Amino acid sequence: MGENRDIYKALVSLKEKEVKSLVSQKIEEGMPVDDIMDQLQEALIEIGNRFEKEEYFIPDLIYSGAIMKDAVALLGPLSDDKSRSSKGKVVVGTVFGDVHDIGKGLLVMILSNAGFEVIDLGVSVEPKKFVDAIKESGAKVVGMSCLLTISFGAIIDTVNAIKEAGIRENVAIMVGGAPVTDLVAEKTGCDYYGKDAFSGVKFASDVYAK
Amino acid sequence: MAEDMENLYQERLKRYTTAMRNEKPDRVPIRIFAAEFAAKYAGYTSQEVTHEYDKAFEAVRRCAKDFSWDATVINMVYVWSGLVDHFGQKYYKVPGIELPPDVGFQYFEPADEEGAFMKEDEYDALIDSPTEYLANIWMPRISRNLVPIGTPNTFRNNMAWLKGGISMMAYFGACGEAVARLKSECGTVSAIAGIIKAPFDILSDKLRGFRQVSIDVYRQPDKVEKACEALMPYLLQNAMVTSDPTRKVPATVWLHRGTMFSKDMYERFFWPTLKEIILQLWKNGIQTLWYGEGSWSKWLKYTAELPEKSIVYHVDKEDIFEAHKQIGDKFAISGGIPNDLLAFGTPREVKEYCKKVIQTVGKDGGYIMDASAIIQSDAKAENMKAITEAVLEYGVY
Amino acid sequence: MAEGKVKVKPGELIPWEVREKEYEKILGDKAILKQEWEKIEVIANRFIWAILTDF
Repeated sequence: MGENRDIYKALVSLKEKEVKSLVSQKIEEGMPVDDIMDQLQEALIEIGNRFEKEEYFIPDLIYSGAIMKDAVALLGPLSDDKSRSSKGKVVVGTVFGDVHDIGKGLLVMILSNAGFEVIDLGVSVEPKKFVDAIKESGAKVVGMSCLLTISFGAIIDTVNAIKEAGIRENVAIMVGGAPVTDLVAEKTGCDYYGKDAFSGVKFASDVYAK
Repeated sequence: MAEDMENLYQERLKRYTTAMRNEKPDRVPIRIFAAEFAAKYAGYTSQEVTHEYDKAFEAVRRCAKDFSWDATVINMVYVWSGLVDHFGQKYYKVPGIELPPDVGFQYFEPADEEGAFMKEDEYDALIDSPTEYLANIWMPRISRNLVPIGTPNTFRNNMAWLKGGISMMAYFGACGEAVARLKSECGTVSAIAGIIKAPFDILSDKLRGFRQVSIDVYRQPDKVEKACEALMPYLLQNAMVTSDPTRKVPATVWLHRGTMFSKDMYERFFWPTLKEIILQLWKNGIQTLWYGEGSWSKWLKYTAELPEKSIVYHVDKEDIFEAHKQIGDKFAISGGIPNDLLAFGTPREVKEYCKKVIQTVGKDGGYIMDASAIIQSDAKAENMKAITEAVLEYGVY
Repeated sequence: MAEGKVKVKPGELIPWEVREKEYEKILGDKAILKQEWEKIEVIANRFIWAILTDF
């Protein structure tokens, strides 16, 4: 880790132009790509901390994601083959019949930034697709998203499908989205209600730490 | 209309409007916003009530009768997918087409700049003349039938304008009849009239998209601010022409994303133009039903700037008791019965919760009974019955 | 911008001021024409805004 933390600082304060010019500059100066990536990723973690303290909000997370994407694009193929250690796999999707993707998208982004390998199944995901993805990936955590109270039934269906496939013991199930509460998580047979993407990351980290 | 039905209607109208003006009626009014719940209760699929509006209206009438609702809305399934089919909006997923027949329709927001219905460099065009921007640029993007100005015209384009216009007139005409039948057959009041959208919400939902607007507030904040200011008078007029000419029932502001932004952003982009619309309506004698999705508690101090009685404050996910403490002396409060309780609780639990809300929030009047969010098919009928029982048992003053 | 460079105001599509100039002459009561023109303007304008806010 270099002592120069300019990129970190610029991203934490959401200075888009500064991040871009600094990344270009540091590449030219020969700063190792790993060091640049480390700074960017640490900045995203700090942005997450500030979100939890309600200093940053969802639009700030989205904006930080956009800045990050452009910065990584500058690193280009340099960043690709760096096999950054995976903290574990997480299967994520919006439940069947529900096509909302903003919350799910944020969870995917935050989990990836935190070092998880995310299997993103998209929106309106059939229970069987969740089951197949868990089986294929061997993920120990699955995250379901929904935005409608009408989707509570789909959460139950998905949990049941996981049970019927005989893999309920292998995965920890978290659920999130605007209408979800602890009561919903409990009554639908999930293990955890994540009030935001960062709670989801904590839950996944705890599962993999065991 | 039978005299007893007319009397029942007048009694309910008085009860409902008295409570909304933060006064004490004869008992707590029951005003329920039920969408897919009504369909399920009446034995219809979501596809049926979304595509055949007569069935949607009938389902609501059945609920209004069976649950003795004082006020309700005949088209809480507010998108008639027939209009969507004829005009060609791309942004809805419709039950029976892309969605299972028993799931409600959903708005599908473009994920990125490429899919955005309004592009990042089009703020000036929107600000310059909002109506022309919508008709000439936005509509050809959101409809699969329309062609943009300057490209060769098509039969589909012409027919979409024709059928879109006719569809809307047919639908609004049918809504008017349904409101009349709700009154004459059920003695139930049509709870709201007039649609309000916060300029920033509509910019975020339907024009730029939430993800794009989240970036715009950083990259081009002045344009975002100007766009909200430009949209304001048009959205005010849109609310005015759709409001209740007798000034009895409120116009509704369906608040969406305001809670997701920082204080600085709320103060700059969201609040000033929304406040102005509500103030202007109030000057014209129109009350606003503040229907905030999620928890709006963090913006209560701004909401409290509004004139006394100018709004009815609906509670979704925030603490209704706390909201009542803070603004209950200024505004009537509605809602606050948790939807998860209606889905997973027992009638006894629902009744207990309603009792608590009635005896604290509704202690001195100024409370309108409703669930927190619009009721979908997850709610149990026996729990909806429990709401009515609780009001009749504990809500009489 | 609108034809005739008159900005389209709330509740209007083709403003009366634009239409008014298009008549070669009006021998009768102009107010009647204006009233009926604006009556439909409001409804048609509502179509545009209803697609945005309602549908």
